[in-house]
Amino acid sequence: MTITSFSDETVAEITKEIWSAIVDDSGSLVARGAVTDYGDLTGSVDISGSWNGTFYLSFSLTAARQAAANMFAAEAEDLSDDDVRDAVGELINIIGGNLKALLPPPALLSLPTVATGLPKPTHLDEAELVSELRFDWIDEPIVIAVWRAPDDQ
Amino acid sequence: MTHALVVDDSRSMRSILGRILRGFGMDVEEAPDGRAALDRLVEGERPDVALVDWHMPNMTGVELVSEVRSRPELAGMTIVMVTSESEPDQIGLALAAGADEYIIKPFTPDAVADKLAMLGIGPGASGCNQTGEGTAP
Repeated sequence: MTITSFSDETVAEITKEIWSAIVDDSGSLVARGAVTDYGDLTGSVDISGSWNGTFYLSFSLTAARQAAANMFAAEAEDLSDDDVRDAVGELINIIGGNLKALLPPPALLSLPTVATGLPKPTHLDEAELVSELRFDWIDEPIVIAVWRAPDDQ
Repeated sequence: MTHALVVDDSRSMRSILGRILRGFGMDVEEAPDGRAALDRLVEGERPDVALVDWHMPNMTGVELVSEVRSRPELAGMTIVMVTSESEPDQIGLALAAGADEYIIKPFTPDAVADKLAMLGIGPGASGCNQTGEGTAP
């Protein structure tokens, strides 16, 4: 199956599948209505080719640290800030790769970047917000957003 | 004991994959990119299997596979790509470069075991020293 854009349902399904496989298989990642703000730490990957845009995965610091702890099989307080950023980057890398697979070729995936707050690429003000979903996990917010670059519209 | 080299720029993914392989009773080494892995392969004891990510700085996984396959002293080493690149064209590219198998992220311990067993490695392979169950990532 190939698509030309991303529905909320597709983004939610892939995010939950990857979350369950990598972070927490208890089914406790739950969709929660509208996005009011982004988290403290955001990972992103760019897609270029038949579709151009950026995927963001944004966490509260508490959620990011606990997700990283699950991935490292370690206690949250034992992880360094770099460990937490690494885990956030890997999660958006896997989510981005699986979403990219739905696009017609060619589609290239960038290396992930992780930044405090929401990184704002130069095209963001003119980009189209394709999908934006808020989840709750361990009573903390997690947001995934898909932006389509203006040169792709 | 089977000796595995995990090549991934993500420490968290190396941790996940390393736990799974150690759960299979394997001895596991890690490298953070293709260049570091190649240096390790040239200088050290050759592993039985290398599990290699695609997107890494310095040298990508596909570049590493091509480089390994071009070196006679590394002939016969089993290489498995482990990546979120799941399109058929990408899988074909990796296999054409010389990868023996392909695991798509996210994966389960069972999926890793099944792929390695197809290559005669790990808990599902006949004659392997199985010492434990895979742990979930």
